[in-house]
Amino acid sequence: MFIKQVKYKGWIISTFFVVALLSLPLWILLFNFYGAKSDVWDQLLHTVVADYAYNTLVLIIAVGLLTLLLGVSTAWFISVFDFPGKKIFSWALVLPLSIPAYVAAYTYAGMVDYTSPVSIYTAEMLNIKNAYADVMSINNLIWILGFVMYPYIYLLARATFTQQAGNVLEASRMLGRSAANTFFSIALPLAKPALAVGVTIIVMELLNDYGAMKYFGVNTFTTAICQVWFAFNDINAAVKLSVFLVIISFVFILLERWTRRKQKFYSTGGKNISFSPRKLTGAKGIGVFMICLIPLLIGFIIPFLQLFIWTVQTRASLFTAQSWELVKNSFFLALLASAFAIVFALIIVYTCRISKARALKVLMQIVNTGYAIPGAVIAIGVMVPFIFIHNSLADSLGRAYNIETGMLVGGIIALVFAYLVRFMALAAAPIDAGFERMNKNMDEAPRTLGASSIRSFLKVSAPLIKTSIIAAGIFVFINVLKEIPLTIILRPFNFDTLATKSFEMAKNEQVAESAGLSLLIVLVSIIPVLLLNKLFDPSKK
Amino acid sequence: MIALQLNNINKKYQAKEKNALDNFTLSIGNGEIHAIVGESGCGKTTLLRLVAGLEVPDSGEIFINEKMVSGKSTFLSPEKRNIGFVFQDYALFPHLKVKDNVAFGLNNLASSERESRVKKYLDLVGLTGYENRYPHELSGGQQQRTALARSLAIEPAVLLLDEPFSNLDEILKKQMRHEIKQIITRAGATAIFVTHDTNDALSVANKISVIRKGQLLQSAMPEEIYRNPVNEYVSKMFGLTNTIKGVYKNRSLSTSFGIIQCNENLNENSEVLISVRPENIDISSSGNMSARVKGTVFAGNIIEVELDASGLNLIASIDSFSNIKIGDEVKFSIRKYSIIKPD
Repeated sequence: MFIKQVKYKGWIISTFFVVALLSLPLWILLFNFYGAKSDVWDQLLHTVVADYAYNTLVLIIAVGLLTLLLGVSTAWFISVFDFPGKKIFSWALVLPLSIPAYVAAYTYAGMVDYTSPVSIYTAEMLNIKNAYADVMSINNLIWILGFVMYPYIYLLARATFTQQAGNVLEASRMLGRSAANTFFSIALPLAKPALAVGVTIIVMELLNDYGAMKYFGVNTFTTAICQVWFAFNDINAAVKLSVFLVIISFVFILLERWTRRKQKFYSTGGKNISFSPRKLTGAKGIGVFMICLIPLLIGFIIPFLQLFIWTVQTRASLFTAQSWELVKNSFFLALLASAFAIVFALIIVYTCRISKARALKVLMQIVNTGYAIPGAVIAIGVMVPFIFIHNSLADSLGRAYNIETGMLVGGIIALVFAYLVRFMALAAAPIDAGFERMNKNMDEAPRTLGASSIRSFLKVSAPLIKTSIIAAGIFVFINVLKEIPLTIILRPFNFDTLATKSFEMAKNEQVAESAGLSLLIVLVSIIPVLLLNKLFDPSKK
Repeated sequence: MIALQLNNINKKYQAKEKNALDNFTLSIGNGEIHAIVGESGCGKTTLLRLVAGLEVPDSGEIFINEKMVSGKSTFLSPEKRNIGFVFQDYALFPHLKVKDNVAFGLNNLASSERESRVKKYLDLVGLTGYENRYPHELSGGQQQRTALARSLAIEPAVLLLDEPFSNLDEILKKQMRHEIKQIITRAGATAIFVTHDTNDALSVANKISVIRKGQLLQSAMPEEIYRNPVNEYVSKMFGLTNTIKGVYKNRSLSTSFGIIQCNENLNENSEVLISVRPENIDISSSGNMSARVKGTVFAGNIIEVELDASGLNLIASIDSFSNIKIGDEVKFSIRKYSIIKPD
């Protein structure tokens, strides 16, 4: 047989192995949908599945619209105007991303609790007995989620407005259009593909969220999956719910692809002409300042300050052995997952790059779908094979050697594996981008100097994309750190992380006591959030 | 001895496209500095990449120093071929110092030997004293010399250079042509370089191959290529030329402007195409044909004269001190020409 490709056998085999491993849970779910019958499922289907679908849809539409409004307006003002505080707003508007949705949810709920200063003060002012308002409604949750998730839209819209559209916006102004007119006739249509990406990310976050929904008592597919597992131990019902959730998720991805189908047409291709923002003073300046301040205030400053105050108030209970244990658990899991994610991502991306085989790109897509699948679903997908292994091992090993195999199910291995399935895309994206920026000849030059592909990779490629590797690690690290649904399903018995513990405490009316843990998550999250801001900031390139 | 032999190489990148290389055969002798010349997209870079093992041919064989490196069921990966490759953009490792770049391919040598090898080749390219610089601290010419030293240091069977002069400005280009030729000669290496600039080829190479659409048109010494181009394409590629049609009759060619003597044995009444270089049109009173001067271009050492010979435009070059004016009626003769194949 005639050789058709330069050979990279080792790399290709490793890639196939990694992809097969990481896509396993997805295949298992798909093949199990028509599997075993479940009474719980039959009952759910006739009673509450419609409710879940309705809640999910309402959340997606309302949060989507709110984030679009907040994200696009702030991005537009930052891009085309010069006003007091603009430089600070430019990066500060991204900060709400560092507050996990569930933290924002119970922080706001706790703030208006009937024992909170807000309620007491309002009650005194109005001279009524009780100003406690029931905030636990889907409407209030929508507002909170909108204010912590809009930065996704802000980042993508800002990148389009300043980078891609800079010259055409200027041309439009030159042709006599007003700023407002230019916004609606040029900027918004140009930003459409980027906004579709942003909304899709937000939809994924909403479908994945467990903490905020559970805390506000809004039932969605994710909360239902956890519930049928915890309450009924019914894996088959969980699988069926999961497949529903995956389908919703994929429908949105297809929608996003469809909106972007003409992206080539949208890219103006021109060089980035420096866009000179118009100076706003007086009333207009103050107006724009306020428009930018409100989302920052509600999305970050207020919850951050409240967490800080609670942390100071409860500091006595903070520095305990138990807190230390939580930090250790969380960091251990996050580090382990980041390390594996980096190694796997390097193998896949590097193989795709050097082998040039198109089929491999598809493999990368498969691995990336993990990020579109909600954590609870992945947890179920991972649990099925682990239960199988457990049952067969427990039978044989347990009887023969009296070995306790219980730790295998819901063990650390299953947990880290599930994190990898879910967050591989976060490691692959920056590493892929790093390789894209690297001169192609850097792969080949070492080969012509007698270096094997492994030596070439270790001595040249890897050092050159060091920053991308670090970014990949940080993104995975922080997402594992704040992960809830997947963790609470798969964690070993009595094993807690910062995220699960803070959520559990908040749920048990200990919102103030949980603030220290949440604050730590928020503080660590600020690093990747600012990193993200830098990645999307054209002026920093 | 043959340093590189390519036999019937075919290479196609995509099913729909034409062959990048089409049944391509070429042999390159030891110690040659061989230029591969062609327009962009003619397949010349593909040729280098196939030799280096960075691409796999669809069919055909490649031998380096008479050892098969690519053929039916044989494919030696790049690191096992003992070839040096100087990339168009040099591909210096930005995170390694000059000396570490040069030492990169020498990791199988003992450290003392490695050091002396690095020293030797940095000395050869004239970069002694720059060992501890990083690539971005070097000028364009120094970067290129570093790349050259890095590839020569492994003492390759064949050194491949991809468009070595395209990244340099005019002045540096002239200097580097001279330097690279000297460095390669002193190293005693066999080198193949691809270029689209015929001046590179003429001034550096001691043998030139012209490629067009994946096929070899002519492979010869520079003088031979210039004086006896095989066809119209090659003749026009290397410098200005006049392409003239004539009919062969009785040991002479009759053209639209006069009769040219011809000593070749050709069929009577056959149509012939000839290429006449401007310097081979001799303007003097003893000429047997006449023309009118239409225009002149002063080019320093020579003057290019545009002639109207019975309606046919010809270009002649004359000494720059000649006194010739537009409108002058002149006599001329043709000193030398070569018969070429039409395009």
